[in-house]
This record gives sequence, C-alpha cells and structure tokens, in this order.
Amino acid sequence: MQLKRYYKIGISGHRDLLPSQMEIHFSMLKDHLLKLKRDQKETELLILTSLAEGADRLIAQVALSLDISYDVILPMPESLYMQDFSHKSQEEFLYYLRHAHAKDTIQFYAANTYSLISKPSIYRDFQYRQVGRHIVDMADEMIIMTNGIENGKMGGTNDIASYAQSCDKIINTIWCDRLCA
Amino acid sequence: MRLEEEKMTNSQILQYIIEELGKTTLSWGGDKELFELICAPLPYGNETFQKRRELKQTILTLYQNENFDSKKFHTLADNIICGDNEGSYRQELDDFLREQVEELEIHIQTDMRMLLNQIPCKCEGEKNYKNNFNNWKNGKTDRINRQEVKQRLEKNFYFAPSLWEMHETTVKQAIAEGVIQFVNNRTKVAEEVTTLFDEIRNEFKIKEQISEKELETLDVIKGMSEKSMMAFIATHYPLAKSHSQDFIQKLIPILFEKGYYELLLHDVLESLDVHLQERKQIKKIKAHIYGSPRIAEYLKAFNILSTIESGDDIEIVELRTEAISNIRRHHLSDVTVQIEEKKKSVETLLAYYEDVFKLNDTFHYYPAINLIYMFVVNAILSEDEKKFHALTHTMNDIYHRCKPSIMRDENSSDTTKRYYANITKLEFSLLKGLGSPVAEIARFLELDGEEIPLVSLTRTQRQMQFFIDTVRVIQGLDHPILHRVQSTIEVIDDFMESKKFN
Repeated sequence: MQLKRYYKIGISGHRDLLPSQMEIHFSMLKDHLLKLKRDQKETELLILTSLAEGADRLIAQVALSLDISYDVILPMPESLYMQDFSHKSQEEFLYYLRHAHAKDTIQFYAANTYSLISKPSIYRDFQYRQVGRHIVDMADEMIIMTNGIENGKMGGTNDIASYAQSCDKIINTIWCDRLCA
Repeated sequence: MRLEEEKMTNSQILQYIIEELGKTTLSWGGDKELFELICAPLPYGNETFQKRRELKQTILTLYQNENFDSKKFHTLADNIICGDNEGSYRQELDDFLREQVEELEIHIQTDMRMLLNQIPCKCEGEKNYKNNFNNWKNGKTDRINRQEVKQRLEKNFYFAPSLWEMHETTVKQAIAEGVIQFVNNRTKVAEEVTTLFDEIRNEFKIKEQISEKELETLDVIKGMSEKSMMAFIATHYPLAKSHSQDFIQKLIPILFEKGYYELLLHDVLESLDVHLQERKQIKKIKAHIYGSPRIAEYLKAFNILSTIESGDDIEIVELRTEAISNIRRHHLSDVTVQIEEKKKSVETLLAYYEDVFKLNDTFHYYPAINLIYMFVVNAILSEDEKKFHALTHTMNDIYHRCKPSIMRDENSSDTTKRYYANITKLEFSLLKGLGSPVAEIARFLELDGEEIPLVSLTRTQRQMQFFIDTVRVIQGLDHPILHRVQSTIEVIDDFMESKKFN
C-alpha cells in the first residue's frame, strides 16, 4: 500500500478578525488554496489548524468548502481549551472538530500541569506558543493572517510568524485588521 | 555669443553642481557634508555588494573562532564610520582582520580589503584641497585648483575629461544628469552599506557585558523551580531582547544542571546569537537535550553530534559513543520496528560500540559500559545459555581493559568525571551480579553525592531504564539482572529526591 503524500499548510492568525473583512479573507484563502491544489498535483493538501476563533476557523471553513482535509492540533486538552470560547463559539468549535481529518493534542510544556493551565495565565500562553510552533514544524508552508503590529505576546501570531521565518518556512501573509487593534 | 560664456569656469561648474544637488531629494546637514558629497570619491563600488553573502560568511567564520576579539572589531569599524582619523583606523582594522584570518589558518576567498571598502568613510580628501574648497565656498577666494577639482568631478560623476572643453549648455546638461545618477548611486550604496552593517550587527551583536543586576538575577534563578523559571521567561520574553548574551550564556549551565530541558531548548538556546550557537559546548548541550526522553528527538541529537569537530581521542570517543547511543534509542524505542529487526540491530550496535571502545587503544569506560549493556541485552535476548556464560568472561575482559581509564578519573577533581568513573565501576558489578552492588551504589551516593549534578544522575537512570525497557519490550522477559537494575534506579531516585529536598 502506498502512503498518501500530503502538502501541509499551517495557519496562524488573529482571533479577532474584523467581521466586515471575513468575506474578502475567505475569498483570498480560497483562491490561494485553489492555486495550491492546481500546483500540487502529486500531493493532497492538508491544513493544520488549532481551531481557535478567527483565522484558524476561517481556514477550516474554506477547507470544508473545497473538500480539503484538515488536521486539528489542540494546545491543551479539549475541555480546557473550550473554556476560551463562548457557548456559541464552543458549538462552532465542536462542529469543525467533528469534520476534522484527525485530532492531536500538544503535551504539557515544561512544568505545566492540568491545574496550572486551567485558567488564563502565562503558563497557558506557553501551550499556545507550543501548538503554534508545532504547526510550523509540521507544515510545508504557513499562512499568516496578521495586522503586522508587533505586540511581543508569547504565542501570538507575530511570535509564531517570527518562528516560521527562523525555520525558513514558506510564508504567505494575509494582511488583516483586528477588532481590538 | 561671447567665448567666455561658452566655457564654464571651475567656480561656475561647482556652483552649478551645488544648485543641481539642491534640486534633488537628498538632504545634507551643512557645508561639510556638501564638500564630501561633491568632492569625496565614492568609497565603494556596486560590484562589491554581489559579495555581501560572502562577506557575512567571512565575518561569521571569524566570529566562530573563540579567540576573535569581536569588541575590537566593532570599535575599529565604529571609529572608521564616526572618527576623524579614519585612514589610520582603516589600516588598523585591516591589520587586525588579516591577523585573525591567519590565526584561523583557513583560506578565505574574500579580500579583507573588501570589508574595509564597504565601511562608509567620511572623506578621503587632502587637507589642501579641503581648505581650498572651503575658502571658495565661504567666499574668501574665487580661485580653486583647476586640475584637482576637475579630476575629482570626473571620478565622482563619471564625466569624460573632454567635457570641460564643451559648450556651457552641454556641460550643464551633463552635470544635471551626472548629479542625478551620482545621488541615486550614492543613496543606494549608502543604504546598502547601512543595511549590511545593521545585519552584521544584529546577527553578531555584542551586547553589553553582564550587569550587576543580571548577576544577582542568576543567583536567584539558581534556586528557582521550573514553574517559577517559566514565569521569569514569560515576563522577559523574548530573552534576547531583555538580557545580554553573557547573561544567557551563564543561564544555560544552570538550567541544564537542573534539567529544565524544554525551557532551555525553546526559550534560552534559541535566544543565543547565531555564532554562539555554533560553539562546541552549546552543541553538546543541545544534543544531550534532544537525546533526553522528554524531548526524544534522537536523530536530531545524532545529527548535531556528527557536526561537532572533535579534538583529542577521548573527545572523539565520547562524541561517537553518544552518537551511537542516540541511534540505539531511536531504533530500539521505535514501536514501528519489528522485534526481529530490533534483535538484529542490537548486534549491529554491539559492533559499533566495540569499534569505538577499541579506537586508537583508548579503551575508555564510557563506550565500555555501553558495550557491556549491549552484550547483556544480546545474551538475554538470545536465550542461549552458552552465550550467557561466556558473558562473564567478556565483561571481565572489557573491565580489565578500561580499568586504567577508570583509575585516571575516579579521583579526579572534576566532579562529573569522578562520578562517571565511579558509577561505571559500580555498574560493572551490578551487571556481573558481584557482591551487593545496589547497596554499594547507595553508599557511594551518600558519601560523594552532594556535588554530583542532577543531570549526571538522570543520565545513569536513563541508561538503566532503557536497558530494562529494551529487554522487556523485545522479549517480555523477567531476569534477575533487571530487578537489580530496577532497585538501583529507585536508589538514585530516592537520592535525587533527598537532594532536591535539601
């Protein structure tokens, strides 16, 4: 049996994209993935996302519309991660999770424990950073959806973009505005 | 038309050039810069920028030499850019770099002068000419050395010498075009030089030396738990922006001994400047971290170890042994590899360890103990009684041969060497089943354990655990040796707990 070869596209982007720009970003992502589909004839596309709100879910939405598979990599156990989302957002998260090709969870980083990351904290930020880096490590190319403003936040979009740069990954940047710029 | 109107005087030419320069977007701060703009030869040529990569590589090579005085390099380069006496600094830097390259005993294609040429200079003008020009500019005289000014203008603006004989209109047109090209070239070149130097500075930046405050911080860190260290890193994120390279370098052994591998790998080591990451000691630490069960990137560890240039025989033996051990971990812990294949690979690994053990008759105890472990694994897995009986003879032979290396280190003033020599001796007894080795190990730790780094104890435990796992996973066997080894792991565990508690 021959193993499938995948061309993996990782995503990192802001969670609070402007709703008014979602449509245009959807089209941009769609165009890009269609182009990749045309270019990568020998391989199948596979999206890597952690299904956070905003960019992560937008690409899952595009993937579903184009019948492209996506793997979900969670920064922490599902029950803990869901605490990040409102009730409505949790339902959306579970919807995309159900349609995922596969699911994986990052292990606890350094001294992290379940209780240490159960509330928003710097310890939780390490988990977000690790999932972002893991996606970069796995991906053949990265899509970064950012407003380009450096905020120095650990595990934030720009932090992950810098890491991708340092790994010499192919990076496609989609410039976008944020709700809380 | 009068004849004197047809040909421009030197003074008119200069005046016209100044007017044309004034039309460009280039800004300057005063007469001094104006003089330099007009009269100083372009200090560098565009063609040199094709070799930017080569230049940076050369500097990187120099930086990798631990004796390279990077501070002197930067001071001299700064003096050339900012100082008044750039000529002598330029020579000094040139001599310094040549000396450094010679010391490295390597052939570097790049002419060092290229580097000097890329450093923007203030001006190369002779004193007389400078005075002459300034006097003219300040209205003290309307005479200016004809030959000199024209030669400089020809060089800077790429004018043909015959231009001066032409009609005023032609000269003006040539000057207008020449000025635009001159300004464009100069701006482009200046930008490129600035960028190049910024890149070099960023890539090989020299931070200020470690401060008193940072030294105090290091003292505090020595007592920090991993959780507190995470909080420290998060509040100083990224480390390279908030702390000096000296601080980061001193932080590494502290965290390494504490076994905070993930923080070291993802937060500290990557904050080191590129040239520091290439240092042998840093590479060894990185390889060790990748080879730890927590990170378990054994092939990465192997690859790093393969790139380290070894010095003496003992270092070669240590590096090769560790490299083989990483291949062993990778292969034997891979769940996708079939049991039969694993059995075969034990024999291959045996041969590898044996080669290193015998390398140049070093017979060092580090490959020796690994070799013994593999012999024991092989004998247990073969379930061949004869093989097992022959093992005692093999172990005695290997122990006898590596004994001088153990004796050399067992009383060493280096705690780590002393520990490994002694623990290896005790591991031999443990595997041979002589006396009461577990109790002896407990006694040794009690007596000499205070100074032993946790990382060394963990390594011994890891070796033992791997031995147990390999035998159990491959064969599902339970053997008296495994019990003894398991008890030893527990003894070390207890000791580490008490050490942490104390």
